[in-house]
Amino acid sequence: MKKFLLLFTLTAFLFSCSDGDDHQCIECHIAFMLDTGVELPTDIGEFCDEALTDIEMNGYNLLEDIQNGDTVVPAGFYSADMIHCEEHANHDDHDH
Amino acid sequence: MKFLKILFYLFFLNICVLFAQNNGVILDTNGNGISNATIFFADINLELFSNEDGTFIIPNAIPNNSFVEINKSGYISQVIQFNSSKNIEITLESLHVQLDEIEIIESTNQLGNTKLVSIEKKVLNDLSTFSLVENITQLSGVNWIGSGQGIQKIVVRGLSGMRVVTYLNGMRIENQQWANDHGIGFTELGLSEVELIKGSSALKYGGEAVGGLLYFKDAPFLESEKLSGFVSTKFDNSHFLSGNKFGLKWSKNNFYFNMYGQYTIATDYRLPDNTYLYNSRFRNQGFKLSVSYRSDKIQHILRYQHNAEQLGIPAHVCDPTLGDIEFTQILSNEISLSDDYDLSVIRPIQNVSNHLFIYESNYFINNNKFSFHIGHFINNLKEYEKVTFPAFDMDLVSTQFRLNLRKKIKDYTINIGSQATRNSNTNFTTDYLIPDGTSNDIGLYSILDYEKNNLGFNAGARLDFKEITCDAYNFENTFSSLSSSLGLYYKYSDHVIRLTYSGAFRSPHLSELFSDGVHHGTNRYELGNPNLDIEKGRQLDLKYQWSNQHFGIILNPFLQYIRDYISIEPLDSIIQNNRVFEYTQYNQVKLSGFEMHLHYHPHFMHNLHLEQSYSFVETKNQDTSRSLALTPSNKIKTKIRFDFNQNSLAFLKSISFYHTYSFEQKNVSQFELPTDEYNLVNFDVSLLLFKKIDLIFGVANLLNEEYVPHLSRIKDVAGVPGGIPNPGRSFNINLRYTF
Repeated sequence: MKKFLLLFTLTAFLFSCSDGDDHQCIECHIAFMLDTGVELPTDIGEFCDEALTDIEMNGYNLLEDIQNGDTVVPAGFYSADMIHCEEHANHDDHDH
Repeated sequence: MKFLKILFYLFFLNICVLFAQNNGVILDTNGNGISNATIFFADINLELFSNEDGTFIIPNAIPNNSFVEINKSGYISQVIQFNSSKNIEITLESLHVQLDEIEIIESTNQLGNTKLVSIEKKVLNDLSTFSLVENITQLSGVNWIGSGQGIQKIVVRGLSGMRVVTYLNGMRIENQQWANDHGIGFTELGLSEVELIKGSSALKYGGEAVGGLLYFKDAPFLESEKLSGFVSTKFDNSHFLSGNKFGLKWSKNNFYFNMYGQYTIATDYRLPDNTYLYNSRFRNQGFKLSVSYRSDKIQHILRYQHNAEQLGIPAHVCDPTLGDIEFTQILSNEISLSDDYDLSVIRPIQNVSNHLFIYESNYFINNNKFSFHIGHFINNLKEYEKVTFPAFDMDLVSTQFRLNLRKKIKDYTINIGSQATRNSNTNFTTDYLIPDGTSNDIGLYSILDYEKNNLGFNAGARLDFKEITCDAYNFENTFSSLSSSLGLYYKYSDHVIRLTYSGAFRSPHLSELFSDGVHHGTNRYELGNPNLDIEKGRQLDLKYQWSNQHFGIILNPFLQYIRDYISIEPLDSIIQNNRVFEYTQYNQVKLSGFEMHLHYHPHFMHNLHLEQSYSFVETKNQDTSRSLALTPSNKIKTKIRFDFNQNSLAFLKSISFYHTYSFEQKNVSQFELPTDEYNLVNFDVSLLLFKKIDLIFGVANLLNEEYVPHLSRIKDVAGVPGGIPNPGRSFNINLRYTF
C-alpha cells in the first residue's frame, strides 16, 4: 500500500506541472521594414492578457511617431503580421 | 481495487473456471535448471520468470493450444502450444551467435510468422541511452527524419510519413503524420518491443503500408501478486534533458494491472561548436494504464494512454523570401537553465495532445482464437506562431474496429478478419492548412500460413474500400484496392532462405488532396491536388541466413516499384511570403537496395560480440531519372559489445561501442542539396548495483563530429551552408531502481 501511495503521489506530481498562472505580460515590438529590406524592431511596450491577445490578433494603432536610432517609425496602423510579442530566433534580440 | 474487479465481473459476466496449478521447468542440455528465463504466454500477453532452479508455476486458466514462448539470453528460444493436461518441461540449447532481432527464427509476433514474412523485432526498454526512434534506427534500412531529440520520425528503406503505418497496441496511430515536422506521437514509456515489416507485406494491419509497418507493443502483464515496478531517471547534457519515469505491475486472481508515468524536459541542443540551436527544446508528459481480466477461455484488456508534447520548431525563418539568413541568427551562444526550458513565449511551437483508448477481447476455443479490438484515438495538434492563440488547431479523431479469427488446422494457420476505421479531421481556427473532412475505411483480409519441417509458405489478400468526403470542396470519392502477399521459406542444414512478394496500395490523404495554406513547420505554402489517385507498390524481398557457432551472416536484397507515387514539388511562385509547393504524382518510382548483417563471436572469447550491418538504398523517379527527395545515405553500422561474467565483476554488466559510417549522399532530387559523409561513435557502459539498481553511462558522438544527416529537417534551411549539424558530444546517465 505504501508503494501504491508513493506512486500515485508521483503521478499527481507529474500531472500538476502545468503553468498554473495564466496571467501573462510580454514586451512587444513592431517589425518595421526599412527600405533596405532590413527589419528594425521597434519596442511598443508591454501588453498583458486580453490586450496581448488583441494586439496579436488585430494589430496595433501607433498614435505617435517613434524615433528608433536614425529612423522615424511613423504613427499609423500596423497589422498583426508586423507585431511580434513572441520570441523568435532570427529577428529578435534574444541574448541567450 | 476490489471495486474494479467487481466491475469487471458485472460488465463482462464472466465465469472463472479455475484449474489445478501445473508446474514447469526450463533446463539446459546438461539437465541443469535455467534461472530467470522468460515464459511468455503470447496469446494472453502474460509473462513470468523461472526460479533459481529453473522451475515455475503455470498460472491458472491458460487457454489450451495458446502459444508460449520461452526465452533466455544465450539460448535458442522455443515456441510451444500449451496443453493443460501436461507440465511444461523445456530444454533450451545454447546459442553462440545471435543475429540480433533480424534473423529468421521461431518467435511469436503480432504481425505474422517471422519465418514467412519479413518481420524484424527490436526490444525496447526504459534504460536505453537512445530515444525511442533512435533505438529503432539501429536496425539496418531504418533511418529517422528530425531535428534533435524533439521531433523524430521513422524512415524505412527511404519511405516515411503516410507510407509507414504505425500501430500502438493494435490501434493505428493517426497523428497528422503526413508532415516531417510531426513526430511519432508517443514515447518508449511502458513499451517492450516493436515489430517492423519493411515494405508492403503487412496485410492484417494495413493495406496502406506501402513502405512498411511498425507495431509497438506494451510490456506484458506480470503474473505476480507482489507489487513490482521501477522508478528511473535520465539526464543527457546535449539537451540538458531530464526525464523521470515510473512503472508498476501487479496481478491477483486473474486480474492484471500495469501503470506508467513519465515527465521529460529538454532545452535547446548543443552543437559541436558549443553553440545551441535555438528553439530545439521540448517537453513531454506521458501516462498509461492497462488492466486485464481473464478466464480460461476469454480475456479482456482495457488500455488508456495520454501523451502531451510541447515541441519547439527550430531553424524557423519568419520570411523565407528575404533570402539566405546568417547561421548565427538561429543559434545562441549559451544556455540559461532558468529560461531555456520555457516554451511559453518562444515561437513557433507545436502542442500535441494524444489520448488513446483501447478495448480488446480474446476468446479461445479448441484451436481457434477470436480477437475483437476497438480503439479510439484523439489527436489534437496546435501550432503557435503568436503567443496567445494558435495558427492551427486541429483534432484528428480515429475510431477503429477489428475482428480476427485465427484457426490452426494441423500445419496450417488461417487468419480471417475485418478492420473498419473512421477518421475525422476538424479545424478550430479560421485559417487552416487542411480542411475538415472524414474518411471511412473497411478492409477484409485472409492469410494462410503453412509450416512443416523445414518448409513453409504464406499467402494472403486484403481488400480495402476507402471513402473520403470533404464538404469544403464538395468532394466525395471512394478508393478501392486489393493488396496481396506471398512468402516462401526453406531451411537446409544451417542455411535458411525466404522469398517474399507483396503488393500494397495507398489512397491519397486529405492533406495531399486539399492542403491550401502556410505550413509553418516547413516554411512553405502547400497546395493539394484533388485529382490524385491511388498509389500502388510491389516489392520483392529475399533473405538468406547462415550461421555456425561463431559466425553468422544475413543477406537481404530487395526491389520495390511504386506506381503513381504521390510527392510534393516546389512551384515558381510565392504566397504569403512562402514558396508554394504542390502535390503531384509520378508515373513510377523504383527503390532497390541491399542489407547485410554479420555477427562474429570468437571462440576464445565468448563474451565478445562483433556485429556489423550494411544498408544500401537507391531511389529513382523513373519519369526524370532523378532520386527521390530524402533518400537516406548508405550506412555501415558496427557494434562491439563485451558482456562481463557476473561472477567476477558483479556490478559491471557490459561495455558497448557503436560506430556508424554514413556515406556521402549525392543522389538527390531536383531542389535538394547533397550531404557529406560522416563517422559517428557512441559508447556506453552498463552496471548493476546492489542487484536492484541499473546504471548506464553513455557518451554520444564521442568524437564531437560535426555532421548533418541527409534526413535532417534542417539540413538546408534558408540557405545555411552545409546545414545545421546534429548535437555534439554529449554525456548521458540512466538510473533505474527496480522493486
